[in-house]
Amino acid sequence: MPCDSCGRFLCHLCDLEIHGRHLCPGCFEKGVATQKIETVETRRTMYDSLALMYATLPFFAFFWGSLVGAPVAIYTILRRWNAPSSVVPRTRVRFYIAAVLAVAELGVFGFLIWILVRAPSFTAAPK
Amino acid sequence: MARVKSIYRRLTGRYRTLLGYSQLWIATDHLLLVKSSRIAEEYRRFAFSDIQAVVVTELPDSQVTQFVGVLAALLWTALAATVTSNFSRAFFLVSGAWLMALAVTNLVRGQRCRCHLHTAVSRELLTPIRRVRTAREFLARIRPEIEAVQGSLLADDTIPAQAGDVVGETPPEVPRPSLGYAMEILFGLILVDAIVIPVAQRFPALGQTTSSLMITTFFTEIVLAIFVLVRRASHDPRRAGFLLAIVALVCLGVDIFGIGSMMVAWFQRVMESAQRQESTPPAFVWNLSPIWMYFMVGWRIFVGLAGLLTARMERASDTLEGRAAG
Repeated sequence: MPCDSCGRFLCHLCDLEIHGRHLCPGCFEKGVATQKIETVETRRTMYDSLALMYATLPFFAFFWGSLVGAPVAIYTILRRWNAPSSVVPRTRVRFYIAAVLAVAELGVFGFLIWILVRAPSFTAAPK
Repeated sequence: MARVKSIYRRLTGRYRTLLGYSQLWIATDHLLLVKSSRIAEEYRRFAFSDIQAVVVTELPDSQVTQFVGVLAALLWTALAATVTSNFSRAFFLVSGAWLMALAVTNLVRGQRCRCHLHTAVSRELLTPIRRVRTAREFLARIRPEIEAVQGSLLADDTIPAQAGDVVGETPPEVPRPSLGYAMEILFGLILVDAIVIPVAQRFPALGQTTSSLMITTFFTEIVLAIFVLVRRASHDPRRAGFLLAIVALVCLGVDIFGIGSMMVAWFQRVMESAQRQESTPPAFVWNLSPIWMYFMVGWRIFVGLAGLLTARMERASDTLEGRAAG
């Protein structure tokens, strides 16, 4: 019996049957470590919820906290876009909402900074 | 990149708490219990071949607590009558409606329960299953799957013959409590009031008689509705009639505003009469605005007719069940 992942021949002792697939101990261990065999996983981090939290909580808790929260949210989205999500059906809508909110927050802060920089020229009265 | 289709199908709704939720899912050969803390999910899998028992325990009846919840929500809503500003009134009405919706939802979801899943090495509390109705649906769904793997208990020849001895035994008959007619009287009185209100409005010459009659029947309706709700906790299994009694109680709570405004106007007239030092105070006259009258008559016709109909139907079905059980 060959391993369905690496092709190495397996004895009965080393053969691990996981949902119809026959794996060697090495491939099984690698699959668990890289979260490729979802039927044996006991825990997963929800990066989409995390990104949404970064995008919303600092804004509502402490307005200027978004200066840190929004970039962290965008970093999480970019870094974890392809990370395995829940083992049960789940869409990426949280990632999209987090991205829109984070970009909007950065836009607002950019606008505020632009106002502050341009303020003297607005207030200076022409002689 | 195309997403891989999940092997899981949803089995129950989410049981939400402040810090997360839990939910049950089903795959081809196992159950999955998901416990989420919002930012991480933990999974517990139970292979159908490993499940030894699913134990559902009914929890004590909490209808008294639920009734107190409905009453508290009503009282909270009634606070709107005591305030003057529109904002405060809107606040009490909106928050009261929300509380009422919560209390009624809690009632409608039915009897509470606790469900444990036993395997050879564990005993897991299935938190998403908290109502008997959900538990029944859950059992109906997983039973065929478990039987497909473990075989059916009834078809299994290995069951000892003496186990069949108890199958034919019937449990002793439990006396069924009398339903009483409080529900029918309540809905009948509500229908009678639906006729009396426009009559009192149309013929003000009847004056004091109809006004007194209306006030009396109004409070009788409230007392009867409360009696029906309290009585159901121990005696009356009719659910639809019970819900309509709650609707009646809510509408009676709203009616307090209409009648309250009439009472306030009457008190003002009495005060003015006293200031003018008149010998006889003005009589209380039933005089509602058209909107209030349409509301008070409208809900009474709907609730009265629906209540009488459902009370009769549920009584008939209860009698049939009683005969079948007997």
